[in-house]
Amino acid sequence: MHTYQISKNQLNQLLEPYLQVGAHLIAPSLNSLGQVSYNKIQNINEIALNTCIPLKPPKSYLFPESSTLVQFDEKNPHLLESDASHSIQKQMIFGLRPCDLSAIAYLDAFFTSNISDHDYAQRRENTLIVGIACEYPSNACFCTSMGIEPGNCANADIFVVPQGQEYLIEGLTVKGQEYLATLSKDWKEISPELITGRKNEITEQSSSKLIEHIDLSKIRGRLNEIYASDFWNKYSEACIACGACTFDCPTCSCFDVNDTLKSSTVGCRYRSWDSCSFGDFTLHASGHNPRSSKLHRLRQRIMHKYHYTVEKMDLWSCTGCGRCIRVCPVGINTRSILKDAKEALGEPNN
Amino acid sequence: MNQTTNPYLPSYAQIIQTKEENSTIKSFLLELPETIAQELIMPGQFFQLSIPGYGEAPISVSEINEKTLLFCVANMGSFTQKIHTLGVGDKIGLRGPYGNGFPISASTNSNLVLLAGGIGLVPLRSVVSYFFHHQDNFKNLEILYGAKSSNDIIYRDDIKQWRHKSNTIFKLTIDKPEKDWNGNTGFVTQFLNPTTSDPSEVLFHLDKNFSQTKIFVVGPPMMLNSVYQALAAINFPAEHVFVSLENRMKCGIGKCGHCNAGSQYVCLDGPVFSWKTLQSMPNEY
Repeated sequence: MHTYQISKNQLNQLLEPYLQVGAHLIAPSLNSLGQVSYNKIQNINEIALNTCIPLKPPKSYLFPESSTLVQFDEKNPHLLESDASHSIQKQMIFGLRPCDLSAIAYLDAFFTSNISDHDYAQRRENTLIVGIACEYPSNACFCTSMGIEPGNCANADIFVVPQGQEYLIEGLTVKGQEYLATLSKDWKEISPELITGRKNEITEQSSSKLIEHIDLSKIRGRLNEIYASDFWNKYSEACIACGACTFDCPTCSCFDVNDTLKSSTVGCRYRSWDSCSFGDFTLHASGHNPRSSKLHRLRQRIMHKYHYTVEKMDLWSCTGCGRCIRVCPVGINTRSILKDAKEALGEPNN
Repeated sequence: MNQTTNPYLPSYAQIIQTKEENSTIKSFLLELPETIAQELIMPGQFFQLSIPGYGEAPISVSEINEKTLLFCVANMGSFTQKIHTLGVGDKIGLRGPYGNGFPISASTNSNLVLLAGGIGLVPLRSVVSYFFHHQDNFKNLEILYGAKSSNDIIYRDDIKQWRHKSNTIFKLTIDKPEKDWNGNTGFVTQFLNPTTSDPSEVLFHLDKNFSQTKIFVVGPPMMLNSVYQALAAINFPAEHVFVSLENRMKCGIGKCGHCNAGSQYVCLDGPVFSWKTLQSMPNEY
């Protein structure tokens, strides 16, 4: 494995091939509202790395808000022509912190297990993921509680580690290494120990900036014990079921499927993001609704992230990115829910 | 990640026969598309039926034949209403089969008791037809069917035949009897009561210790709760009871999240679950 050291103004050498026609470069940059978000950029100078993670997660570049599943053929309305693959372009997503890299690792496992989701798999296949160590945690962040190190993550094709006026770069996957090999560059090769040392340093510094670390090891796999507990009430009463926490969550992946017609014979079947917070999410055709109350639905969201996916996939489906805390309009704090859950399970918070 | 085929792309099947089963349920006999292998379809599985521009819905298969599949669709919303307008010669999109189906091969040499509430008879009908095609593999069949009223009874022609089959018991009850009704009245769970059972019954006379009987249950959530109570009262083993759930679904392949209950996806891990598994799952179905 090759590891390199470059000066920060050499970053364009890493990214520039994706600014060419036919490929997209996605990176954190200022949007028209002056907020940092993951955008398709035209110029490397647009990249904004010296802030906390964008409020919107990068998932929409792999699992768009809305995407076509099948199209109806005009000449023969009863035969559905194939898929939307023609519109899937090569892209690099640059600047993902370890929390968002872990979220993509979760989405990969979820979408490609059992019956693989063709649309997701194709987008993923055409995407190069370039991560960066996180030096800027927000007040809402709690990644270390979810077992994520701010300075290090293996779930990227290429990982970039800032060091003063330089970047240390390593290719982690075959895809990442192959890409690095194609670049015409005069980068300085360094020993892997140097990059490991800097990653540990960033992990230590950024972890110390986090407002809190919640030790969840004692309650992993035990949330079912408080399924029927009263403590959900405290949060579900405040919840307005707006679904913002699910849309801004980097791992939430529920969707609805609908048809639309442009004319009597031309149209498509498409999916669009849905939310388990919504009242009709589980509504049966008969009118019966197994999760009819906000308590049921808030509990489902928490149980799913911190218990069901642990049972099913041995993975938390939370990365501690804190976006749900930042976006909630009524101030529901996921960290408080976790701490209350610990208490309800008889585990002290310290 | 390898390139995969698009799992959302349906095949198309021609309707070769239709029948109004009652005022809201219509059955469609479809020509089995070449893209779907008949031998891979099991009773209790479902397909996503679709019409371009109108949507998709998960529908249980009611009969699996060499060259045809039978589906029965209740008119419950805009999509199923559109399906009801289709007739012989029209085409329906379908993808599947999905789900696990009933544990048929694990039930050989057993008695099968089918407990159906309302349109719950639709998925169980695939088990009935499988039983008659493979009768040597099983002991006896008992079909216990509860309908709301006599107008709601489906498969009337089939029922006439079932009543005369060997090793087969068919019992029917309705909740809201009309004046001229002289059959059983009340809920279908009455047939699980040993004190009111008749001498022909599989459950209490042919397999007194329940070791050689499997019960397959499909019905509305309210019914399931009373079935559990009735089965608990006779100490029927939970691992021999299989329930098919009808959670809302959109994708059918474990991705959209709608049917998720606990760590299970009803479309992928079910729709058939043993009562024992259901006891460890949240009651969100």
